[in-house]
Amino acid sequence: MSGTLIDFCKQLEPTQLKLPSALLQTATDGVEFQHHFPTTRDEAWKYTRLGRVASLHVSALKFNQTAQPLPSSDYIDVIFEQERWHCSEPTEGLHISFAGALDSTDWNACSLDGHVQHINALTAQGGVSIRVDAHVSLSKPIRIIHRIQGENKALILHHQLVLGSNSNTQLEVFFEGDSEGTYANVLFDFFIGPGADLHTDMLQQTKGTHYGFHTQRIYQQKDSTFALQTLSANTHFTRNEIEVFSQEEGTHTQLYGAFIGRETNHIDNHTYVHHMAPNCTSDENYKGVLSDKATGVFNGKVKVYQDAQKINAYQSNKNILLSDQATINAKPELEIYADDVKCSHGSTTGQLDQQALFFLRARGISEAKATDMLIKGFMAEIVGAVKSSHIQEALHTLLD
Amino acid sequence: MLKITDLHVSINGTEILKGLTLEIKAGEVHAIMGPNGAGKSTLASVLAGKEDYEVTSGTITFEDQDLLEMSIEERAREGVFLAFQYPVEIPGVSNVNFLKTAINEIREHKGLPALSAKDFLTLVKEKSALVALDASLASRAVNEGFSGGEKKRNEIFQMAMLEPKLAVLDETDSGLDIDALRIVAGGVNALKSKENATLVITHYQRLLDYIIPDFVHVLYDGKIVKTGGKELALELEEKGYDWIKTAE
Amino acid sequence: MAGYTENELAKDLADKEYQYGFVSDIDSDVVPAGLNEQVIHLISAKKNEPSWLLDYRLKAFEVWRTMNEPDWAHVSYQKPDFQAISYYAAPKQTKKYESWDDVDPEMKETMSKLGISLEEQQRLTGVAVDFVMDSVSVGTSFKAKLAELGIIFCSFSEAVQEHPDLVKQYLGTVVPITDNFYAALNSAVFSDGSFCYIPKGVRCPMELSTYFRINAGGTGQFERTLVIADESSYVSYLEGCTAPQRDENQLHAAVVELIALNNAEIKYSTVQNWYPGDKEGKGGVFNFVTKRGLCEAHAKISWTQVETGSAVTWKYPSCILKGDYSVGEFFSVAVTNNYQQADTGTKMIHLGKHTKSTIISKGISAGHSQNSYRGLVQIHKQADHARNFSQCDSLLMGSICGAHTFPYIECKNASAQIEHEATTSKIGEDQLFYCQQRGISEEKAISLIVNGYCKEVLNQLPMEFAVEAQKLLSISLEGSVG
Repeated sequence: MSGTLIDFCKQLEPTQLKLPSALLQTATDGVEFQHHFPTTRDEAWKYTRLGRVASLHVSALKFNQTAQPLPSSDYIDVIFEQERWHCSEPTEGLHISFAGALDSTDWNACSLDGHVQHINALTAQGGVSIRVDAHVSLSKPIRIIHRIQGENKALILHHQLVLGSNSNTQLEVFFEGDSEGTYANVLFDFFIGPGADLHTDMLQQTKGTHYGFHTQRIYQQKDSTFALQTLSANTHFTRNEIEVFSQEEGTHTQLYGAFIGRETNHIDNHTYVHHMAPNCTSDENYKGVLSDKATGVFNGKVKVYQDAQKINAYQSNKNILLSDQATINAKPELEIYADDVKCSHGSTTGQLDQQALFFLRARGISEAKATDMLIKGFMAEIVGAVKSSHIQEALHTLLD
Repeated sequence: MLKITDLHVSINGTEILKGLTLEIKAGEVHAIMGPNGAGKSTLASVLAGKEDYEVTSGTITFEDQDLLEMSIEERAREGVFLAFQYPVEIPGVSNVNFLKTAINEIREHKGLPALSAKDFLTLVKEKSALVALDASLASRAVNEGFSGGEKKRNEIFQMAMLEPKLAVLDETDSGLDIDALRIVAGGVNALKSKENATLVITHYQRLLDYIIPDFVHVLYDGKIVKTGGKELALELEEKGYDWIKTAE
Repeated sequence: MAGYTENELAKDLADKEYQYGFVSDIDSDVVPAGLNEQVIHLISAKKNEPSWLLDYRLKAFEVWRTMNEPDWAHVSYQKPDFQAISYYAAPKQTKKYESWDDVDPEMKETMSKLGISLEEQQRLTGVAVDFVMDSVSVGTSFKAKLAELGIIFCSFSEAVQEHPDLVKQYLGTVVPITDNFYAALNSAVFSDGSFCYIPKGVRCPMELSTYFRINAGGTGQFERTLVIADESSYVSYLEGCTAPQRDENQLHAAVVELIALNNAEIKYSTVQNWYPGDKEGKGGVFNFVTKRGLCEAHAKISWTQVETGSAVTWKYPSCILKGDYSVGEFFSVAVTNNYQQADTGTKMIHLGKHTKSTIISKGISAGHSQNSYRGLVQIHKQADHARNFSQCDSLLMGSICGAHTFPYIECKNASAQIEHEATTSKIGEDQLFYCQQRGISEEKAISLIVNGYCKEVLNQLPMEFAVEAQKLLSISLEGSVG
């Protein structure tokens, strides 16, 4: 018998973050009002069942305010591992602190929506606050690593990245672990200042029966650029929710994603781009390869607000099913209230190109090798957009 | 017929035409040549009434009427025809339906009755032969899937159908091979009369081997810097546009 | 070449108000407003129905009472008060007409205002028209000719009396009473509609046509249509809808069921121009319709719709591709202007192997309107080698309207090929300039471009309908630019 949302929150610890009381109230009300986990009758969860999540028995991983130091390397590292967090010495123009140390006013720009974010608000045990000063181009990439270890543990974090005007940042995010019955609810808020550029590559590669909820909320100011590559590889259960608010003119947003599912993996990608200001572009490209009994979900939504003229929004989702037991559910949506726009989406689902397969085999390549080659080719666009060499290597290994 | 006086035109705040003056009389063929960016296509667009261009000062009269006061379609109905450098594709709208609509709107404007289907088709047959346009193209959607040459021939075919007083040919030779060029030019010449006039806008001289101009104007930096007879085109071809720049 | 000249268009454009907005003064036999079991008994008794049909209605009513009006569509409106609607309005003159001379002259005039005078239709087009006026079918032409071929084309009530076995066998098999709120309501209170049966191997030689029209004020229209194409038969069915201009919103909740047995083909075309409400969004018809077809092996069902009317449209003509090698098609043009709202699309349910579906949807929004495409492509596990192609384009005219696309793609079979494309853009400024440079006015240029944009869909309509549809497109977009 699965528990209610309140039961679920009760087994965790109250939040260690100083969220504004209004936000906490929203979350408390939300959990009480909704009472139960959403069901598939709920449009946002139409293709993802939460019964298993609701019946999880987990305990929260807690963190100290102070980070353990890390030796200097080619990266600025932030590591959350068991009940410790580690941090490299920041370079000039970069400020890193524990999210629990932030004042309630630092969270004023946040908003909450849906049970995942409500649980996060009520039970987050920490997170990292990263600030990049205006006009700073970081010489090293920032790397945030989450290692979720210990059976039935829950990792609940709320990160905040504030990128000053005309700054330039490269970020890599990893999710690792191999314990059973774990839960993660990790939320990122990205505030991207005018003219700032943020490139993020994220690899989700947890083994074991792990239930991962990943939320990224991105607030883009004038002429800023945001690129996010989300790669979910053989994860038991993953729900990605990415919401971009293009608030001012001249922004560019790139959301790329690859999801590779096997066995009974369930990987759900929800993206929502709000074009609230004119003269912006967004480019979305998600690719899925599903084998065995895996299920993939892609729900991409682009909303163009009434005054947001001259928007160019493109969305593509392509899926390959390698098994008759695999399932894909795709829902690319456009909601448009401005007239001078160019918006399009395309979605295809199919198999590997049989002619190409035949061609490769006719040149003497084994069927297995040819299949790998074609899948690699299929994923090349996404892999090519990844800057992180670690993630690129991981993907190459995975696709071999 | 057409009188342009001290015309200044800007687009997005940048001045493109900087005091252009030109007069074209009935029966004449004028050519405007000039390097890229001189304002040749701007002139064509302004004559047709394209809204992106802002006329900051100067006048254009056409048949003693203020052309700048007229809407795009009024200019067309009064007899200004622009052969587009890049003819537009209109999916799903057949060439024939498009032309029939245009002809009847123009006829209505002139107080003439609509053309019967039979007369219209006779006209299509006659005029399409002029530019060797395959009859099957007439029933296809406007310019959709046409080759570059077919699009340009279609422009001249439309010109033949609409019988304008002033035809403005905007870089009609661009992208044409020599055979297509001959056909297009042949069409233009066949339509020439004492009552109408032609303004040929081109970068290269070769079109003027086939459409012989009475006057050649050199447009440079938004102004006409030199005017002469057809031999001026040859001189330009030989010496290049740098000659104009240095001569200035 | 298009048969419709631009001069005709100009004439149509001159008449800006809803040209079908007149009210016929025929005495209606109206059941008092409200819905309960007694009303259902009354409707059934008035129509002299067999007890199984009464039971069917009562069961549907029970189901309906437990259901809620759906609210997931991208539309917002004041929900109708279902107890304020009169569920039955028959023209008072109840005796069957022997010939057309017997028909009330005013009713004939109504039809001629609609441009579908039966005499003219018969003479000129060879279309057999079954005219549904406020729920009771008043006449069916060409019956004798069709009867020779064994084709049954009559009002639904008549079919209940004359062909009860066929009705009983198929009624509710494609759209069960539990399907949705409006379908349940329709199943409880449907008044009349059309019935059509094409016997084995028969190719229906003419287009079968029904014109629906909402007439009496405050009455809902609940037609029920059942088309059965027996093995290897073919039929093309046309449905046209108009409603007079009335201030209060009127409800239209029809159910259409199509059954295409092995190798059969049904082509179902609709031109819908119910009253859309006035420029301020007052009045207009609520069009909440359930249309679905079932394809057996090698069968084909093709839906074509041109939707220009109604204040609110909620409509998803769908195909259940049950048999192997069956084919489903959906071609749609939906135009919304002023304060109209449309949420329309299709469902293609692939159950059989080698099933194929095509979806072409063209949405055009103008004024303050909201226009949504909502579609489902579902490939079931056993549906090997299923194919789908969907193309959904939206055209925006003006900056205060909305165009939305909500496609759902669910695939459980690895051999499926699904392709979905959607675009949203405004009307091409370079195309407008090109037309205007050739002397065509802006309004007419828009009409030309929009008709061209919808060509793929309009081409699916039979000729007479295509001409009407083109006119409707132009009239609907009247005044939307400038």
